[in-house]
Amino acid sequence: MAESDEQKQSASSKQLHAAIDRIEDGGMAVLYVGDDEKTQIDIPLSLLPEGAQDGDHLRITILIDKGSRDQAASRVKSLQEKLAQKSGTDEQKDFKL
Amino acid sequence: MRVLIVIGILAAFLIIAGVLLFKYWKKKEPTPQNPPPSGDELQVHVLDVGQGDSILIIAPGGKVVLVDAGVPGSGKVVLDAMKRYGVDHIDLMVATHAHADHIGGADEVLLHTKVSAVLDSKVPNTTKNYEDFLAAIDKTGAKYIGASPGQNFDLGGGAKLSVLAPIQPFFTKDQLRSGANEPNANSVVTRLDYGDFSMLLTGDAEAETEARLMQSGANIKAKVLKVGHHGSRYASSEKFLRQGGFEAAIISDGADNRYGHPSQDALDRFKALNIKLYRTDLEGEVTVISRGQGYEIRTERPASGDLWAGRTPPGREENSGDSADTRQSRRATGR
Repeated sequence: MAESDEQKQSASSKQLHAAIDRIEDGGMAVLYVGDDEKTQIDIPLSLLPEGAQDGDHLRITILIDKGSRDQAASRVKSLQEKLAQKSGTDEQKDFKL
Repeated sequence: MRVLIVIGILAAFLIIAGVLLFKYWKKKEPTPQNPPPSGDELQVHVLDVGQGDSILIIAPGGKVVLVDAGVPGSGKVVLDAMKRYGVDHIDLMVATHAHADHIGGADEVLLHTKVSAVLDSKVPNTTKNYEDFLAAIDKTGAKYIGASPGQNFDLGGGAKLSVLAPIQPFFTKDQLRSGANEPNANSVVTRLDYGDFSMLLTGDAEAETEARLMQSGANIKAKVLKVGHHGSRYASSEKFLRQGGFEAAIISDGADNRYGHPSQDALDRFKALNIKLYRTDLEGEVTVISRGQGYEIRTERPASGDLWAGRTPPGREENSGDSADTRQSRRATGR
């Protein structure tokens, strides 16, 4: 199961280059992303690896986390069911508000 | 024998007098006097490039200086402004420092208009943006000059641009507050003089640089200040503002910035000293005009908000910047 998840992830992964142009006030890192470094992304320094500093180049790996999405979908669905059951409104057609 | 003593005394007297005179002369040696103003118009346009800096100076004799070129994509804003003001070349491009909110559009400007010379702090960045900027200088054959205090650029008609910083040796990271950086601290700082008008342009210099400028005896007294680092709380120290004696301050920043620029702290310092405030995020392009006697400041539009209200980074409470600083400090000491 875990293996198939990994396969799904690696099939849709992407490597991105980025450079930290500067760290702005409030600890906001200003990244320029992509091989052409044309896209600006502001991200709190606290979300970058320990030791990252201005001028550093980064390699960002983006994976589509199918497993995490499926888990969230399942949690949401059971919450919906629980709420509907609790409210007893599944079969209800007319409501008096 | 007596003659010899007299000659000796006379010689000693002459040497002492000579040394004293020389010292006096050295002291009196004027910092080069500004040439008389022609009376024609000097224009300083602080362009609206969002969260960045770009200042177009058109001197009375027609010489053109561009101080910074905004964020990437701002090249067009600069080129449009040049067209609007009827100038088709840049005699001097000043890159105050190598961050993308200052040199972002520099390559585009270099490649689309004639730029004769580029003044750079020479503190590098490792971004493609900075490489592209250098490559464009290389390609176009513009003269490349490393900025150094004491350099003067005669803009004609009585106007002059002088370099005050970066002062060597360059600031290193360990000399700066945690979270500060070398490109900002070693920004090219210039002053523009024309008759009794003067303006100080400080790039992203913060308090450490201001202190070093004051210590160096640089002439920071000016009528108008282009505020350092977009109104950051770490720039525009009270002592600097007092010593500069500025009457007006212009902040170049963008309404959408996430860095808390301008900060309430800095705005309060301007207010306390009765310094008139202008902001590109609220008023669009800000233009200063002088004919060498007095000056006038115009804005593109009336302020769209309270000039004296600072910005807080999204998702942060007032003063919570401290926690971010503590985190950076921890990281810095960890390295």
